[in-house]
Amino acid sequence: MTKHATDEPGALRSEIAANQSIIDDLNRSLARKTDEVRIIQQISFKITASLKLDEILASILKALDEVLGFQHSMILLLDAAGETLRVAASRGYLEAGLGAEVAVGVGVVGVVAKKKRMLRVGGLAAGLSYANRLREGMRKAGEEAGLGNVVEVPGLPGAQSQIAFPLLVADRLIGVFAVESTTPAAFDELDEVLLTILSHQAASAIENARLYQQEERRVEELHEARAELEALNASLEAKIAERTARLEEAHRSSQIALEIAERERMRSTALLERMAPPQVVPLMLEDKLLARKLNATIVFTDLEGFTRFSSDVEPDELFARLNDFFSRAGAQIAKYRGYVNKTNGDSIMALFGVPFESPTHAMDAVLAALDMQKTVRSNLGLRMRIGISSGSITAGILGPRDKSLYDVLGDSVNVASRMEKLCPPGSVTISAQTLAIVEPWFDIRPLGRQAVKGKGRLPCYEVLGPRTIVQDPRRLDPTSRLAPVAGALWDEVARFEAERLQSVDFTSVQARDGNLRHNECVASLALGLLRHLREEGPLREHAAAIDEDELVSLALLHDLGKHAMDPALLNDPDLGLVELERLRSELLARTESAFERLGFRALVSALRQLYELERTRGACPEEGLLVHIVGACDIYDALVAPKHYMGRGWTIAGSLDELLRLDVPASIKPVYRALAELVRPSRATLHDDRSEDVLFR
Amino acid sequence: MARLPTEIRAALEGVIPASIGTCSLDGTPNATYVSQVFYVDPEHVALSFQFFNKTVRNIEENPRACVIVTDPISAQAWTLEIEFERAEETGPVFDQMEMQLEAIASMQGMQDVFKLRAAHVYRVTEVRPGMGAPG
Repeated sequence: MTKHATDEPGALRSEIAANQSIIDDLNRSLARKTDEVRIIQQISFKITASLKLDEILASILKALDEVLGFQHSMILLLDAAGETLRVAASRGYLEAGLGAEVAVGVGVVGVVAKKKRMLRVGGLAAGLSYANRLREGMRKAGEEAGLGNVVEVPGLPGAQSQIAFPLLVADRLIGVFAVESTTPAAFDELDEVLLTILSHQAASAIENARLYQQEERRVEELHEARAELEALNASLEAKIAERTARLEEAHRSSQIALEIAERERMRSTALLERMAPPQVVPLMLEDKLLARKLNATIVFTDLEGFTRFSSDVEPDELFARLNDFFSRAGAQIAKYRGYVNKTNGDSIMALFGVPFESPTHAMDAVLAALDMQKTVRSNLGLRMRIGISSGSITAGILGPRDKSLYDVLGDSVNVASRMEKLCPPGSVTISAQTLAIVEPWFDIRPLGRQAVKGKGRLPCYEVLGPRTIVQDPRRLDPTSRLAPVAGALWDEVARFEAERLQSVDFTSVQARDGNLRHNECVASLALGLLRHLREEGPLREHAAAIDEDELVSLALLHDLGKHAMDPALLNDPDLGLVELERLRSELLARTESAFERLGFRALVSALRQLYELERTRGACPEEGLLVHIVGACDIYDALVAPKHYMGRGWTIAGSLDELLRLDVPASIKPVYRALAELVRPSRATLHDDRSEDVLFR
Repeated sequence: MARLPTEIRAALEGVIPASIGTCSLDGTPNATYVSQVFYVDPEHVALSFQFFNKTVRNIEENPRACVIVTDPISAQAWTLEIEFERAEETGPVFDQMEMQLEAIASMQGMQDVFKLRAAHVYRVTEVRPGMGAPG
């Protein structure tokens, strides 16, 4: 389309020619476009074939050279601070120029980086000479003030043309790609378009490679860290294993040491327990056992005719029998809280009231002695002499250091030993000192004064056994209405005990609180009282309904719970009201459970009423006749028994007076009155003419 | 109005300085060199405005000018009749001119001296090969 279109043939021809030239131009342009697409494909393929930055950079420049014929090119990358570009790859330069720097904003490359836009300069040399001339002119005119320094930039010497592209990733500059030529105006707009596309691809490839490199570095670092960690772990595990092994070894050693120590301790304890009462062994182990004075009872035993007996049996049997005897005797002594201090041949020395004082030591010793006699008689067919004495002794560890024993010293020891020598075979001989303590409870026969070596003549006594009710005028007045039948009642009760309650060791239970034969007394009195009530008075019918076995059982078993209670507590005379109350409920609970075990569940309710009666001093349900009979007798015997009640000894008169003052319901009153009638001394009379009830004279 | 032929592009790369003739309102002519006549599009070229000089003043009075540019390879000269159309202080033409100026000035330590004030865009009213008055 020319501006001179006319109708003339010549003009038409030239117009056709001009149009042909345009068509040729377009064809050429089209051919070149096709080439461009091919070139871009070629270069793209090359620069994306690798993920290694150096390879990519080199392949970009090589492709420009080989495919487009651009011989001088370089790629500069921006440093982390974003101020300087460094040549990372170059092609077609005499010196590689790698690492050469150019500041952002300086030269073609610097300005491209600064503006993040492509720049093409066709007359670089001319521009530079023009600027240089201007600079010279200013210098000559003395206008140098505004001038900076001439800057050397990396590039081709004598370059006429330069085209540079920013390498951008999402508008972030990562570097500049520049191509140079010594030919002026070497690059045209088409080059511009082509290289722009390529620079985008190059930027992506470079960024990918960098990311990949970064990732590789990270992976490598991770690998290194992991290797380091594994090495650490391995050494740590080794260390832990070593430490664990050492600790385990130490633990094993200490365990072994502990076991040895424990074995040693047990052996020492066992050894010491042969030398001393178990209670003092802990003190001995700590070396804190001090000698002390105690009121105690000493028992010596000796088997009569043992020498002859031993010559008749084989040694094995002899030892077996003797050991059997010792273990039985030891058990009986222990049952009464005694301690086998030593044995010598067939004889035993036992201590009661050591290592801690006990209010019942003398009674316990006599009871153990009577038990032992019974055992020896029935098991060995031999008779034994037993001597007992009581008094002040000193107890402690005695003997040479390597052979010391817990032992006692004192005159009583000698006296006890003498009593044993004087004792008629098969019996129990006590000294006057022991007699003084146990006399109220036992049936004792004087043996007269016997010659004792080094002591002159000493009175000796034979213990026949615990007293029955008829043998103790302080418990039952011989002139009372009950006295003539009391023996028979006692025997009935004893039979009942032997037949129905043989599993209960009444003696040992009673010994725990030093109230010997209390239960048998209550039972005998109760049985007598019941029978009396059946014969006369307003309660005859009521009384007839009461089962005698139940009555006797309740009377015998009413405080059986003592078998499991601390003797020291049972014998403590200084308990306050609260403690007594607690003691009473504990006793009830334990007795109840004993009732259950023995099959007397049916009597538990009566038992509870009995405790309630005593707790409330008489206030008890009217219909509990059984309970009141047992209760009245229990209270009476508790008062008159040799064991002090409420801190003092009671006479029969005082006890009945106390009994009749109880706040019982009027309908039950005859029970108490009847008991008083039955047990009162015949010369005494009951007066009930006083307002405060009965006075007993 | 005239179109710039493709072959003229090399002459517009600023390799060989161009000559420009202007005329004041009273008819006084002025001729001088300019470092580069920039190609804008087939119908426009641009001149850099850095300093107030006679050319700029004349153009303000009389927008018509004549430039002679030379192809650096073939030494073919072209004469362009041009007429001032507008001054651009932003845009792609201004940017390219400014960048080129800055690239060269920065290498000579003259970035503070060489400041592109504006790109003066001229409409090409006639283009003809060679130097001389219209035939």
